[in-house]
Amino acid sequence: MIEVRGFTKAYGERVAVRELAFSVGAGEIVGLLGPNGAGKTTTLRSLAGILRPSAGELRVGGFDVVREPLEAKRRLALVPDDPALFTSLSVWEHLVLTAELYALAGWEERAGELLAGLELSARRDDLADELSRGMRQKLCVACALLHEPGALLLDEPLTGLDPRGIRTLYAALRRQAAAGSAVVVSSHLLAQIEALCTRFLVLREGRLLFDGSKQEIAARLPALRGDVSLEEVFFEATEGTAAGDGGR
Amino acid sequence: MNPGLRFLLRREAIGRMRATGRRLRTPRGAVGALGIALFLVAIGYGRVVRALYPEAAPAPLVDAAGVRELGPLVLLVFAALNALAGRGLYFRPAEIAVLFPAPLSRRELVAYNALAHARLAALSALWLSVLFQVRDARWPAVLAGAFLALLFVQVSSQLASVVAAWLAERVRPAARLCLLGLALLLALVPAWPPAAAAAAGGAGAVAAAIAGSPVLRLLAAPARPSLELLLATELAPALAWGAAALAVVLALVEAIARLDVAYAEAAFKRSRAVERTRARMRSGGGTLAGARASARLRIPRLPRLGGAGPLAWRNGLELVRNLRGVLSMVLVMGIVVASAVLAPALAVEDPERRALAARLGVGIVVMMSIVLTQNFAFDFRRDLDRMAALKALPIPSAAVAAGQLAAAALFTTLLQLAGILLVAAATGALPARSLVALALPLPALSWAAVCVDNAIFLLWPIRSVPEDPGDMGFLGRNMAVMALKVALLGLLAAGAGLAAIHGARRTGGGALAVGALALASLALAGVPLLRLVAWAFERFDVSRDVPA
Repeated sequence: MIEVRGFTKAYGERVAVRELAFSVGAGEIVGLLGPNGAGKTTTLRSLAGILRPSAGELRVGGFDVVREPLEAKRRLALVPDDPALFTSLSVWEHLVLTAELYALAGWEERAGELLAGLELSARRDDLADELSRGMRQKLCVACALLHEPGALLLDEPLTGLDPRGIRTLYAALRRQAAAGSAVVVSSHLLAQIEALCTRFLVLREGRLLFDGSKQEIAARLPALRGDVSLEEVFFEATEGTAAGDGGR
Repeated sequence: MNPGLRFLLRREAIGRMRATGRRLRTPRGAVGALGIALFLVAIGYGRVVRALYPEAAPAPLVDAAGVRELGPLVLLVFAALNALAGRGLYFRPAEIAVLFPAPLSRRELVAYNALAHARLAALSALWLSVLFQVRDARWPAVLAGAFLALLFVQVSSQLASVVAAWLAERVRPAARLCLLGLALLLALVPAWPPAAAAAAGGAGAVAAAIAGSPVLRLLAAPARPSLELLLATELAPALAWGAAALAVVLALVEAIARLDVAYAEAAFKRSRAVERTRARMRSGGGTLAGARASARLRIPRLPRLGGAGPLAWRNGLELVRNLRGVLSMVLVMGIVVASAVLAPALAVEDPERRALAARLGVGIVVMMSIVLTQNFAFDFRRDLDRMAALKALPIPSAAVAAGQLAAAALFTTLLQLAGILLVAAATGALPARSLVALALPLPALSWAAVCVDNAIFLLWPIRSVPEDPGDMGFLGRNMAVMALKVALLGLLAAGAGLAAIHGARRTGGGALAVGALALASLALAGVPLLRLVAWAFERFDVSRDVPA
């Protein structure tokens, strides 16, 4: 569903992402990991057609994001790191807007289910301005899921969510993946993302260091032995030492 | 256009009207509305007098020839400034988050951006058509012409930004600079001889000579239809020019849609930069906070002075590190004073006229410094989002107030002194004694102005930038605050003057004694004013008084 080949993005002289290549199949939930400045957000924004790649190819559902942007965008959804919403639109009106933008028909029932699933039904007529950050985050997710995208990209979706919100979001993402979507989640909250994703892409300074399950990555790191956490894998993979050993 | 975009435009318009209605029902909104009403009454009064007594009332300053001569150039300059400020390609964060990943074509996004700005253009055109009267022009034509002219500015600045992005993708920065220099040379070199010849005629004549440059005339030609519509007195030409102006806007939209450039990326980058600037401005500091600070400049640490020293040092540090913004404001002030007062006075060798210009210049400098303190808020207004931290400090409130206000008062004084010295040097009509007499009360006056500003702010806190560009209540609130500030300062000056005259009568002193007593009264008033600010700071409730 998502294919990235030789993707490079430069801002002037600074190269943010270099020769990145990976693919995400239908039903997969992939975690995009890396320290600040690793190129995670740039990759997601480029996949969503907001940033133009300097080189390489990005395809969503078989369509090139640069050459066939409308076809690619019909098959994807992006939940940005900052849940920016229209302050003078209500919760339900955001779903109306999404349905109109994506030319959906008979979407009301699904919208109601999404609101119920994300515990937003009671706030249906509230303005976006009146929602907490966590609720705005969940509304962004509801809007993203409404058109049943083949590729779902989430940039730091857990920020601002309480434990119950995280559990609700996980359930929604798992349902979406089970329905055939390719899901890519970027997050710094390693302990939380560990339970959600089956595969991880570890980036550092714009390069892909590792691609695989936690066990597969750990097996390639000689310093790690036994049952290790994702946090230990992350630090060993990105810094060459299991520096974040607070939990050991 | 995508039905979602139509829905969004419609709902946003309704939502904003409802929000305005809700705001008007709050005390703050009511005061804002009162400020706008006062302003409209002041404007409307002149209009009524002119309508009733056309012969007695002075004719409007703007005439058709002036609009035709300078109007296109003015619109071109506005478009360039808009593009430089990143406003041409600006999309709000919600628009970027929702619309950019959606399956929308670039043409749809460009048209949406233009239509979203049309609402603001309509409001601004309404203001402009009320504020500026053009001789012999019809109000509906002025309104329609101003609307299309503003829309032209918006879309052409968007085109300029897109062209800049197109160049950035293909040309190296040094080569871009060379291209820009070449374009400026092409535009201005042909205008140089006529501009130099027109220098004796004043700023207006020079501007007209520059506007006559062939390259600028060609560049500004698309702006002409909207200005001709503004001047039209008959229906048929008004319709024809209106259609032409609309066609220009549509052609510009088409040009933006066709240019091979990463439109979404360019708009995304520009919008992020504008949002960062807005965030700096919203968190306090007014329009000057928009410029990025430089960490290279330092000032020496101050003694603690009961806690006031470190606060004054911090505000002073912020002030010098924002010197770019501050200096640009000083430059604007200098240009206004120079073109309005000094240039005409220097053009003739008339001592009386020079003395009058000097007095006018000093008056403008003093008044502008007081008015412009709204924009260099290196005091409590800069710390609106840090009030909780200020209140938690183990420092008496009077010391906090003194520390917060010192930098702003000192800077205002220096600004006034520099302005007065400039006027004195240019006119040669201010003797040393007058300069000393003018300089002595400046610190007390600046202190009083900054105290009044901050007392009003702490008792009635408002953000120093509008919630959105169409926030008319913001304009009204600023008008009301300005009126209150001028009234309070006037009362203070009158009180000091009366006290001085009373004291001089009792002691039998002359003019020097009156001046000294007035100065002493003004300086003494600084103490209760500081107490007033400290009291307002004490009663400021961070859970209630910080505006959204």
